Amino acid sequence: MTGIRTICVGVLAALIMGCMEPVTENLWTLNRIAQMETEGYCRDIFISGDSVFVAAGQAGVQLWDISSITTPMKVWEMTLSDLGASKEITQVEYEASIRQLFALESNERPIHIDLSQDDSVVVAGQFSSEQTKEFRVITNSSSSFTVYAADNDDGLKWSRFDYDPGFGLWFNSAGDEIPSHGNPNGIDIYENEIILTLDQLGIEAFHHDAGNISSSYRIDLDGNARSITMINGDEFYVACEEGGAYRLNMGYSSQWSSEIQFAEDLYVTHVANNQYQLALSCSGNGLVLYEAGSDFSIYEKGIHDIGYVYHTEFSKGYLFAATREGLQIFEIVE
Amino acid sequence: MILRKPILVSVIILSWIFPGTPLEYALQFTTGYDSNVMRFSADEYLQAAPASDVMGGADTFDSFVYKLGLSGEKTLWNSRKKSFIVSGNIHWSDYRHHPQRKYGSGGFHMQFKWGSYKNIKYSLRHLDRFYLRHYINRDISNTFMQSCAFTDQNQSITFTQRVGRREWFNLSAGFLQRYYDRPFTEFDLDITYIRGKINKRFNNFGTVAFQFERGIAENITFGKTAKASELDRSYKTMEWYMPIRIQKRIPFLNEVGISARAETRIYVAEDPDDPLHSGRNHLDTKYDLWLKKIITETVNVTLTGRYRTRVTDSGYEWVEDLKSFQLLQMWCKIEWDLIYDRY
Repeated sequence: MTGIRTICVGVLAALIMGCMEPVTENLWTLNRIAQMETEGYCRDIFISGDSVFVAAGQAGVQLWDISSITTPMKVWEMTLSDLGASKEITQVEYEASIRQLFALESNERPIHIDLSQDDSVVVAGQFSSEQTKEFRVITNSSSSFTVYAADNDDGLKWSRFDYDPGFGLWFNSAGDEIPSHGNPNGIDIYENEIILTLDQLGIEAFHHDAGNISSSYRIDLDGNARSITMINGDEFYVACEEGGAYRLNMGYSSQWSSEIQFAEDLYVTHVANNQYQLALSCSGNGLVLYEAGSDFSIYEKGIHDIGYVYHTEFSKGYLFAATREGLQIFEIVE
Repeated sequence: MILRKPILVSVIILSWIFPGTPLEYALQFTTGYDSNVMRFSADEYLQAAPASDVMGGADTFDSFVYKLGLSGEKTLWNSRKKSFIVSGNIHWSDYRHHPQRKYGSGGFHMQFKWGSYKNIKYSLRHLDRFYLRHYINRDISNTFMQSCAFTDQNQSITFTQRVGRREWFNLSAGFLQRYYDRPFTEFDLDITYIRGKINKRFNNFGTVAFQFERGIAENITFGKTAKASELDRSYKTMEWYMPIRIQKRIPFLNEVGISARAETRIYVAEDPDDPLHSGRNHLDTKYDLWLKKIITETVNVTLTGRYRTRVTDSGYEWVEDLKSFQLLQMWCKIEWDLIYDRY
């Protein structure tokens, strides 16, 4: 009997020890929290607190309340006819402190919408010039803001607006046009540094000093530079379509390279970042995640086929994706 | 995914602490040829020739192969007709013309016998990092190709019982873990199977057997990595196998064998967005012929030839073309049987 017992124990031990554990990949997974139908293509989003402004393509502009993240509610919308537009809305930006909303009709002039009046939404007018590809708004004070636009046929264009309480209107008080080396199609600003993407000609940086804006430097990049995301004045990410994306650091050290190209085969149109997390909008290739290493390295974290992705934003630990399939909200699981 | 060293160590220790029976062991040396190492379809041959990434560093589609093997068996416990036997084997295989395909394999078996053709056997087989080919790592790229290799850990319990004077059957249940190395863990499978085999020995002829197997493979990483894991690779499988061994009345040789094996695999995916797996099935057939000659009391030589073909059926013609292939393998195995009996 002792022999039988030994045998049984041996078989049992072999069975337990015989199984193996699978290895895992160092990828991040996406947990979809919500998906909202936006009627038109969800082209762009701007998040302000619990409000998400959506550039909903041919459906105009929408405002969604995300106080309940799993069940967002549409608060209001403005159709193209409400906006006086005829094509599609491709960008939206909101200045919470002055309660002014800005929307861009594709290749047209940005539209200014006044949300400061509680009982009504007023289209205040259009500004800058046609062929505007992207813009940024900086609030100067409670009664003043400046718009910087990537004007595809003129270069960098800025316009200052001041509120006149007497008329109850915003007036264009100043502005200028600074020619660029190429045709701009994207813009971002960090403090006094402004960078334009110049399609095939890479990027061009401008410095804003006491009202005077001048070109600082230009960098040629592979592919067509489409959009730029500035982390600070020295470090930024450039989406270069078929050239992939670049991580650039102007204040680089001799310890690392000042330029890293990645996602070369993914047709990148936008890069969003949240500390070390990077979300690349890659059109039909979906959403692609990367990790930005502290040593200026980049690590792949997975392609996620969530549809045709135009733009992403991080907010409150969630990732918001503007896609042809609507607005999608995700949680990244590392 | 390492070979379970404690088990091997246990076998060695058990071999020494249970004296009284000889340790039978054998050394094997095998050389061979594989005409289609990476299982390329006819279309893939045309595409792979100019694409060095697909070839994984190899210059040819075929390869010379050699294998080294060591096997051993020892009876640990004996009482009248009952006995407890442990056995094991380890092999090293090297595809000389394919630098990526070099792998180790091994097995460990415990068998309790209570008579002739009456036993129960536990088997643990391990195949370590078997290289398939280079695939595009779809989790991170649309073009970047990386080496794809898997490790198998196969456990089974087989019950054998005599049912007549010259007939016996085997019933098996097994669990095969097929886990892939990074970055292709989206292919990971847990395969459970049952197998039945009936054997008959004919006077002045040899043995004929028929085996039938059913299995279910679950793709355990379905949806758990990134884009590449959105495809469900789970499948159901059914296989029959019929070997005929002629051991009598043959000139010069000691054994001539032929066998046919056919596996039907049906993928469970029904997603229209997954044309590669949805509605796909294949028939994988292997025809073997082997000739065995005992040279001396301890040395024997076996020549084996195998023709294998896989015919894929799918609603998409490109999938059928992509996943169908054929190959020819030939082997020459020299085995030297030895006994250690200084106990």
